[in-house]
Amino acid sequence: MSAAVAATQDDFSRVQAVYIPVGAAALVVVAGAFAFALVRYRARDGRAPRPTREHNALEALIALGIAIVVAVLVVVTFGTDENEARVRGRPAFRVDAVAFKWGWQFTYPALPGVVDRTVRLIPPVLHVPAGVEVAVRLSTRDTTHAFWIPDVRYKRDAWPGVAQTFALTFPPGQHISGRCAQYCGLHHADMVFTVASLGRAEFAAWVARARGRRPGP
Amino acid sequence: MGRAGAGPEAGTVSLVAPRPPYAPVRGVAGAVVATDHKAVAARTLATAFGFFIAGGVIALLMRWELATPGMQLTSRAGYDELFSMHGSTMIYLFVTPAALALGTYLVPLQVGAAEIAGPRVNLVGYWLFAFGGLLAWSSFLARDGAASAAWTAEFPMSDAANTPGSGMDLWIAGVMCATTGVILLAACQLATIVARRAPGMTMLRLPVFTWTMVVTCLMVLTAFPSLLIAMGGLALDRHGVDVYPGAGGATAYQHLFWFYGHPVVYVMFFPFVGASLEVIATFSGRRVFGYRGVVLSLLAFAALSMAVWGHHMFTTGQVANRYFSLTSTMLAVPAGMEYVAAVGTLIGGALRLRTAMLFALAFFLQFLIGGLTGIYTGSPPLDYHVHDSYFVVAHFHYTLLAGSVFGLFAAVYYWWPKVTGFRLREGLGRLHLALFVIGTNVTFLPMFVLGYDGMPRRVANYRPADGWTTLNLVATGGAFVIAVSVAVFLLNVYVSWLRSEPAGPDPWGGQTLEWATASPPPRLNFTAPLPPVRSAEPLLDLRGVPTPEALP
Repeated sequence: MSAAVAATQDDFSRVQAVYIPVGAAALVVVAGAFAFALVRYRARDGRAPRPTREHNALEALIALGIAIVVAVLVVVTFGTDENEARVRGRPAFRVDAVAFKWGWQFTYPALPGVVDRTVRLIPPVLHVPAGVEVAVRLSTRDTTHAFWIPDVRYKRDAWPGVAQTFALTFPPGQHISGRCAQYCGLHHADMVFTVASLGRAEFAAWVARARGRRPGP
Repeated sequence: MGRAGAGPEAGTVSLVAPRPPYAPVRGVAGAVVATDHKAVAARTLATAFGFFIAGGVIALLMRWELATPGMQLTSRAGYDELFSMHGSTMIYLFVTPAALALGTYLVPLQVGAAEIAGPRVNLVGYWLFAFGGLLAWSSFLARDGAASAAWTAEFPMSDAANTPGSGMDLWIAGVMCATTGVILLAACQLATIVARRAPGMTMLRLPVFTWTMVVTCLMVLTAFPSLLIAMGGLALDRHGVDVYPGAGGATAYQHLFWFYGHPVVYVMFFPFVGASLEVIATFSGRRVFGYRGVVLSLLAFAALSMAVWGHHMFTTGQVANRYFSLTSTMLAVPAGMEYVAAVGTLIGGALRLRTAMLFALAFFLQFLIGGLTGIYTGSPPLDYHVHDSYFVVAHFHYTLLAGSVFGLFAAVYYWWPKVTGFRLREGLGRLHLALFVIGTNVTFLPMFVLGYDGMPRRVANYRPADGWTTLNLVATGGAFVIAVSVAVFLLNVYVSWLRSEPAGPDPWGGQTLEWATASPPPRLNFTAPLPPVRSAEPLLDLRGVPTPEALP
């Protein structure tokens, strides 16, 4: 794992750190302007309205100001990688995630025969090493689904007929929740899973256990 | 071309029809065949409002189901039908037709025409909409239940294998029928604006509301056929024709759908911007600020709106995310200019805070939350997280309910005396507004938090361990407050009708031509000669209010 790898949750935080203050400022400015007008220009004491004048230069200036804010936001957004979760270099671990109605099947190319799978709507556990780049190859067996892990601020649709690969970096945690986000029918709400993001020693222990458990040749 | 220039047309012009209208048909037959644009518009609005109530009842059922974890009211399949019918009813059968109905009523009056262009086509438009709505709702009678593939009917979720049953087919036919009707309504208005303007009414003297209908109709005519193509293909595909095969088919459906699906958002927004700006101008006692800037930004807004649809597809991995992120964020510029017009009109005015004015102000402020969170979701790294979560549910309800419907009520309170001849009560109107503001914010603010925290949309259930119970309960409470506020509105209509007082032709000090005729207007709209049209606000010219060009 190279130091330059940007995790999706870090990109999210970096972009949001600009968008939230800008949005809050816009809200305050506009609400403030309305409040000012409401307090200052109420019809009372026989006040007559002033005839409307053209202020084309002022309008152009405001439009330019908004355009500059838009430019800043776009530059910040474009500062993330175009396909932000693109797999760069050699990922530390690979997962094959298959979505179906209604559940998930996770297999691991490095661990042939090891399967974590939804059985009778009981959510499976996806096992990954923590803090390193994990490449997820996502596909679907039937309709569209979406693979969403709120803690890493990322989701991607499982698209019929094409596999999509993206890289995630998981913080450590035994019970990170994941779920389907794309409506897929009757048990869409039950299409959940848990991510066990394990430290080096825990992960090695899980690998050993999983290898021992898998059916022999 | 100045909007104040006194051209050769200056002076009074009579548009009174040289012959009396044909004898009106009475009774049930009259209600079916009456081509008067005012009657058609009133029926469209009343029908759309009926669908609003129906869709609202569904919303209450959904909120009841979601109030606590577990299944308490519906089955999973039943819930899927509910949210599919809620979304499609509100978008296809309520807000869109209501937006067009305002124009059907007001555009001929505002441009000084005796009748809408193509009155029979206009009437067919209404009946196609009403029949389509009933057709879509008849899917509840189908053996396998109503349509359950969401309002978007995304492929392949909506195909014959994933959503079998005739309910889905009825729904597709209904949506296509209603949408065709809306296209006809838009065509008649646009033709009226192009060809039926009174002498002196140049394009740059059109009232602001009529300008918003120009761009709205342009978007309807260019974008809505794409929905017909998407849905027509879907209908064929469900019956054995391979229209959307494989990975490319799923992508093609979404492109076709969202090419309609984003412009429709502005179809459900612009008419209410126009209505709210006119309300604000009237109750400020002055002309709209920056008329030409508004027109320019509306045109830019509409043009740009045709190039942003891919932002609904950021997580599909099938579109150029950066392009659609750029175009979507750029929308902030024309949107910002509409706010400049509102604030610029308020500053320097003498504000009278009647119910219509309060709804118009609330429209701009509440919509702002929807607009700003729209900029947020227009950034792919942020959208990857909140897409298809309750965050976007909150976002688009702030644009459509907390936004557009406030604008619709501003229009209803403002033009009610023109349409009926009597006013709605102010006290009940204010109560309606207060409950509606409380209800929408209590319902939808918690949804931002729920979505951010990981609650997906279109789910009938969640687990106690998810920790979403309290906020869901709060949102459900808010939904019932909204229901009460709508009941207060209906009560207001009833009470005001029971003891109605004549409003007169111009109860508010209006600025545009519809206020220069009786309330309700006669069959051919104007009996007295029209006032001369020398600006976008001809009635202010009569009162001697100078135009911006006339000021030093």
